[in-house]
Amino acid sequence: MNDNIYKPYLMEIENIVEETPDVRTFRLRFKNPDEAEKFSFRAGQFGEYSVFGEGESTFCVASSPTRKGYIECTFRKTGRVTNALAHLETGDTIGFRGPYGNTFPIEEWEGKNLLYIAGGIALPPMRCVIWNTIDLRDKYKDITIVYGARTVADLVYKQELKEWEERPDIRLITTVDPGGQTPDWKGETGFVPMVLEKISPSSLNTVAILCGPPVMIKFTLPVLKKLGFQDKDIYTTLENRMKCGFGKCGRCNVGKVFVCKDGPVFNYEQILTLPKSINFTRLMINIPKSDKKRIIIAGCGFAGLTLAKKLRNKGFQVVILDKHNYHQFPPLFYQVASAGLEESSILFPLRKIFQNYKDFHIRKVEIKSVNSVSSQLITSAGTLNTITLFLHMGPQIHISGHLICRNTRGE
Amino acid sequence: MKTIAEVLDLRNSLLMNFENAMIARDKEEQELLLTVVIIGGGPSGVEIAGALAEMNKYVLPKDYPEFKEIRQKYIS
Repeated sequence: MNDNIYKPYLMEIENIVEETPDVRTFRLRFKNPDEAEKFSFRAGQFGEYSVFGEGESTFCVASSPTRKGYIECTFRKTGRVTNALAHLETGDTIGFRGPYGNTFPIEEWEGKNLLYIAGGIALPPMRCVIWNTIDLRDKYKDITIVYGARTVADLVYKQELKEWEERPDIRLITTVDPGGQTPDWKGETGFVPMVLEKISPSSLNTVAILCGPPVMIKFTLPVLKKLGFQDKDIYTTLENRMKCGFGKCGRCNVGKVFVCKDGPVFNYEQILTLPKSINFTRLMINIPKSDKKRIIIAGCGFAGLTLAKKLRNKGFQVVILDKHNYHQFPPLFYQVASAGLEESSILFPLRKIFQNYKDFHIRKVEIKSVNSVSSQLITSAGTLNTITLFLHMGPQIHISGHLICRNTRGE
Repeated sequence: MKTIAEVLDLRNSLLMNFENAMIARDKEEQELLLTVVIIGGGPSGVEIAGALAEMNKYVLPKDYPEFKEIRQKYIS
């Protein structure tokens, strides 16, 4: 640790790996060799990476503390700083301060089986502890890694996944969401919780380390419970909640806990004591049960709106799902863009439209997937049993293949 | 509330809180999302309190018929 916790180290970008079109890994070396000598960190800790003139961003150190002399970090282009980072090249200098936060209790895990479960961009915060335990392979029993991403292209660390796959002392299961596979994909196809249920790892003497998007965690926890995992044996890292790094700015506190100082690593027993806002099982879709047949309209654009209006007083329970709580009129987008109209002229609040419709329920949620076998619809706020489902998802914008395409935020 | 940006932010978070209250897990959380604290009782504070009360009486019952039980509660 630097003598002055506020002072960043100067780091030179030694190597850049393009993991996916928007995810990159940097290998950083200390400009000052004395600092490299003094620097040490432990698995699970994080740092602040700064681009001069742009700001700083927080993510976990992705390389293992057993590999000395450099640190690695992996990030996805999402905001101002990560975009600026993405434009840097080998040889450029950035700032790094840290390490901050607590660590994975890898000593306590000695002699146990380790089960790593990661989804999408959540593998980087776990890569550090994965390599740390692999480098100390004798101290641990079975190591199983379950890693899922949306598509084959979204899998990060492809080189290392291959390496892990080839090692006889590691069991690696990779999976992609249905539809995300390529013709030569050899891994599993399906969501992480389902794949986990299929392989059913034993919970005996096993610690599970879980990290991923909230919806994955939400559906994976019940599977782990079913397999017999205790709350205290399930670990996660709440990386996304951090800001300044040492609990001064107040953005990371959840109840009494400062994620930067007391975290980011928590076991699920600790998480259950936190206020609900961080509890992964927070949302409920809350549609009242009814004897009427239920019709779900997913997406309330032109088609959804017309259908919903025609269903008035037809004796159905109608559930309207949309990621916005308004209907919009895209043909006039150009007017708003050119300041001819205010946005209120082309947006129509759904609740206003359906004010006098009986047994119409509007929920602002996103659709995650459709299970046609059990006729269930999985949304960002929970699962709905459907009778009839109408999907009006609209077209996808297709811009791939064009080199210079940027949105208005410069991404 | 000092700039247009802040005002729009406030409006958006207010409306989003209502939407999130519809998909809240339990009553306690719903109540949390539907509670508004106004700090400062100057002209703006008084006006917004009045506007919210009006909204509570005339708009919310129509837009969110599901909120029946929790409405009409003032903490002072």
